[in-house]
Amino acid sequence: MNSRNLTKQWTMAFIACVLLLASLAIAPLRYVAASEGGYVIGTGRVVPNTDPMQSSWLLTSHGVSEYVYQQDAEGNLYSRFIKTLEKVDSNTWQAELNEGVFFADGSEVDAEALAASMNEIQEKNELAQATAGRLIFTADDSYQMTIATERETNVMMSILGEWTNVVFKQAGDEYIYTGPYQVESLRPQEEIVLTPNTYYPEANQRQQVTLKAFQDETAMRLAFENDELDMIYPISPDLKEQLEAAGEVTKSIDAGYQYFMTVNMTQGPLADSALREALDLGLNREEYLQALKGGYEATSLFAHYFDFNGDIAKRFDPETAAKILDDAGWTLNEDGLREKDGETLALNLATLSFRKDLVLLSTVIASQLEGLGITCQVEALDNAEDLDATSGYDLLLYSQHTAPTGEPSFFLNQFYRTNGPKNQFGYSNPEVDQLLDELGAAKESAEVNQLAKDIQEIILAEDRPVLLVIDPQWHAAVSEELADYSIYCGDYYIVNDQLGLDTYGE
Amino acid sequence: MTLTTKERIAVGLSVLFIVFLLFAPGNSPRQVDMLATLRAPSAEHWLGTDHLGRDLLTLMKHGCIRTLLMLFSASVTGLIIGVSLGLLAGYFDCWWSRGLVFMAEIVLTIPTFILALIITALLGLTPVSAGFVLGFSSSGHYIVQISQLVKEVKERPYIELLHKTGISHRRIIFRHVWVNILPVILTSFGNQVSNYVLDYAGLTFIGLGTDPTQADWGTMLYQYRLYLFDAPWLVILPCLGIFCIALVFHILFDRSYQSLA
Repeated sequence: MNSRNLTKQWTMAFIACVLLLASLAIAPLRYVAASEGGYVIGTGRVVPNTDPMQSSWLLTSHGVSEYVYQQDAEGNLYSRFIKTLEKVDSNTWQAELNEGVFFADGSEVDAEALAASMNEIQEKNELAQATAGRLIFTADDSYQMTIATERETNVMMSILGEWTNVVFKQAGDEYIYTGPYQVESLRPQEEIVLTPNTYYPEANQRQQVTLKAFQDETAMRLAFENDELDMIYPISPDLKEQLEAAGEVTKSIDAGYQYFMTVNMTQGPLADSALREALDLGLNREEYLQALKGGYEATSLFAHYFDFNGDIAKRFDPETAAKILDDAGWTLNEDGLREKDGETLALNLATLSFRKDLVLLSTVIASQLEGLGITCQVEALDNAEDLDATSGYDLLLYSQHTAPTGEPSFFLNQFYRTNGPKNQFGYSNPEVDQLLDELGAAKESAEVNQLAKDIQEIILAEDRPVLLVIDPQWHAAVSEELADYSIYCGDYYIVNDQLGLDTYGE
Repeated sequence: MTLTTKERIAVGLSVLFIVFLLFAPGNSPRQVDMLATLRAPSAEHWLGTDHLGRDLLTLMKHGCIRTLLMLFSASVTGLIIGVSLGLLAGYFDCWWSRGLVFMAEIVLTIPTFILALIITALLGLTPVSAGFVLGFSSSGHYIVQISQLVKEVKERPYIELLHKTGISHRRIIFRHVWVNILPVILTSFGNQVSNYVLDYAGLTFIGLGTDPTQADWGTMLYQYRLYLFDAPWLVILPCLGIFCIALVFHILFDRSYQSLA
């Protein structure tokens, strides 16, 4: 190789290095520019389709659809569609609609459109019938609507705020909604691009929003730290702590969701009420708060800020728990395990793999059970919808927003009424059913609150088909531009109509 | 078998690390202590603690035991199925042996990791179940390779001569054919073991059907990946365990590697 060729090669290598360095230098500028055309949000799940029968909850969470009644940031119910709602008799309600509320295609949400939407949901989604049975909506004129219920209820606002009841219309194969955003493009379960719904108030102040699904929190963190994302939510407590230490803006919100363990009390060792009581006393809830770096000790089945949440203090008393187990015949063997008639006490615990908090808590719970001499096999499932009493699990560590509509009967009916749609392990108590009927008929909020507390007392202090775990907080990290943006109600309204409004006008 | 000094040092250190883990003191790998999270190595916790206050040495020890259990399960399954069928398919050249090799080739076309992922998701992921699936998947490799080797050995003149002298097939296979193919089987085994370890770590990293409270090295890597910069030892130690086991088997059994070295 002669010296001229060598010089040429060095020159080419030098130019290549300069070009590489230059591209690296401008790369961050490109990332910063990503948020100039709108907001990009990293989250756990993106809607698989736009069908209101399958995706109503996620579509609302994305800001595309709306329930007839929604929660505001203070937990109060409001409706853009209904001006007044009055009970006419035990099974009939009359609604007066607001004028000037539109679908994203510009057509008005009048009584006929709203009734058609709700009737189709009642017909195709049986979960919409959980609280008051089948509802029939009839448009009386343009803005008057009658609602007939199968069972008497006094919480029609809450029923219309249940996650099944989104306002929609169908145009061919396309579903049209009413939320602040409409779907521009969708890559199912990966990415959804939203543009402002021009028929929603203050539409001109909104920008494009993109939601990206991340299965891996580390990838989401890197994208956020590279300014590719304007907000990430929800994030683990550890990531929140690390981002805080790195100077990023983070937020903690009361999730509204509750973490609890549903107990299989019809089959397996926990059919024995003594064992359920022992477990209840043997779980140290303080450690769950430490593991999740926040939250509140659960005092009942609802978030601490609801008036109808019970106040059933859960004491940690491992000595009494051990004594109950001894008395029940489950004595410690030489390996430190509880044994009865030659059989060791072993429990199968299922949880949800996509709820990282639950997977973390399952480790702490397994450790605590081991301390009581109980072996615990944990399995993280992709979903737990099909589990029942015969599926071989003794405990299901679960998370659920127990009052997304601001009242207690929806959750209590679904989980604890005999044959309720989410009463997976077959809990049945005629007294609870009777109280649930009374709850459905109660009119005054004081009466509702007291009945709800009575039901919780029976469930948590007597029957124990559920063991409380924690009333958690969830965490988010946001760019400085979104520092004032408020997420509320868990992941029910990740994209709400306030996104970007505060900063845009400044 | 000859090893260079560097190889001896590498194998020695790796074996020492594995033996240290196996015989190290430790309590239950599930024992959480929320008052002692992310502790640095100390007299109480030789390798420190994780984000739940679990003793890292105990977790490493149980991860090592579970990995070795999986290796045993996979090796036994792979060798028993693969070697026996490979010997028979190569020695008896007929319609069923050709069918057997064809089936083995089909097994080879299925990605091991995907197959293991599906089956362990259905059956549950334990070291034994994962080992069985990984071993079964690798048996295709053994069958194809060994049957071809046996065919070659069988065509050698002295084997033909042994046939003519009336020596039984069983005696020929185990006394003469087996000896000739054993080095290649060991080489293949060395490679497979490395694959088993890495595949098992991958399966437990993904976590489908696994018990997240168990101390598998892959599970630990998944749980600790967030601490890569804040507590790097949490990530380094399981990686080191995986590396050491893969390295030891690779150097000790892979004859092609030794001949190159």
